[in-house]
Amino acid sequence: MLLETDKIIFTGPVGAGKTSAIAAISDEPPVSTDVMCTGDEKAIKPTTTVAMDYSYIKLEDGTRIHLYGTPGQERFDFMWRILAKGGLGLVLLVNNDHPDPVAQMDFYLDAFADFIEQTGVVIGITRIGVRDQAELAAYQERLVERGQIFPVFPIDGRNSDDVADLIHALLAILES
Amino acid sequence: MAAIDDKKNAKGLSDKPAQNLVNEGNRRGSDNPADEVERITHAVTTLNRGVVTRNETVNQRENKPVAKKEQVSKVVQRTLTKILTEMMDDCLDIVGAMVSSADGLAWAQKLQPGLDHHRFAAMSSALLALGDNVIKESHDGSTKNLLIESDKGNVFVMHVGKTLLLTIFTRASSNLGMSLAHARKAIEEIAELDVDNMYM
Repeated sequence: MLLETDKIIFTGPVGAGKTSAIAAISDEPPVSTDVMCTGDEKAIKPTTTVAMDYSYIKLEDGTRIHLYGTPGQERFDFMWRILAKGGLGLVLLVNNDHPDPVAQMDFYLDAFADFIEQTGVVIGITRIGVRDQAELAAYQERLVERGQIFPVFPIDGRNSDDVADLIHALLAILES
Repeated sequence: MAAIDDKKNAKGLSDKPAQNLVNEGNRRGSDNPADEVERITHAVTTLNRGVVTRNETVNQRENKPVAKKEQVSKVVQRTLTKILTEMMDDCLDIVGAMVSSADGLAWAQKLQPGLDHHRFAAMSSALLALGDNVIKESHDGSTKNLLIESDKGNVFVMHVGKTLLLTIFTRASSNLGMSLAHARKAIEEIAELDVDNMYM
């Protein structure tokens, strides 16, 4: 049974498409805390999230589910804890264009290990077909090595249907 | 989120900035009313000679050749540290100060011992970004400064142009208006470095 106060957390490395995914699925413009990049990240993208993204979706039965996106950089890990508190589950986005995307998945699964254990996670692989650094099977193999079974979806983070699929998959896991 | 907490502990980081703030406050200041008066008088005097100080800084900068690109950040960092030091010398209520980028990277800092500038740079940017959103949506305004008051001390976070932020830490008993005036003076000095221009 979902409640009006339920929230889903979007996390993942810089440039995975967390802000885009939340924007794609929102009817209204999300609350966004994007600022201009100044450091090395400037080479990757012009702006980055420093506090959070916030929006919501309405399910078929009218229930409102809140969506919170975290900043990607580890220096904002205090926001990870603030935002994850009381969350229903985790959507982990991983950028397949990163030099070692499987290791990135590992990092965030470890960082959110306790939260995932208490709730659940679905993994969305973004930017597939740009400069692929890993096969989808590589993520699954790593999960098997970790002794964890989580759904992994190739998605376009800018496509609302793809993001909706992730959310529905997460809700299905949580209800089972 | 114990995994994250454990990692913090392993790095030797801790969550006790408030405690450090108190100790530092006690070291720098006093509860004696006479001291308080002298402190404020000192602060007013130094504020009044602000214009002269600023012009001197500009001239020094203009004479300094900035040849290599990688040296720019070092030169800027040194100037920022100098501005922060002068602000804290002029206003003893300010027990810590930091200049960081809007995306949460520390540029220069004079913080109380034990405070990790990387963490405070990130937290400052998150705080101010949310403050900007609240003001934008409630008043369609733009943030001048964000003030957090506590029983143990206060924190201001302010924009310096579009690229940088100034965060100052003041004693609990401090005169907020006076601290703010000194911070604004420092912001003007930092703005003269024209950091925005490097990133626009």
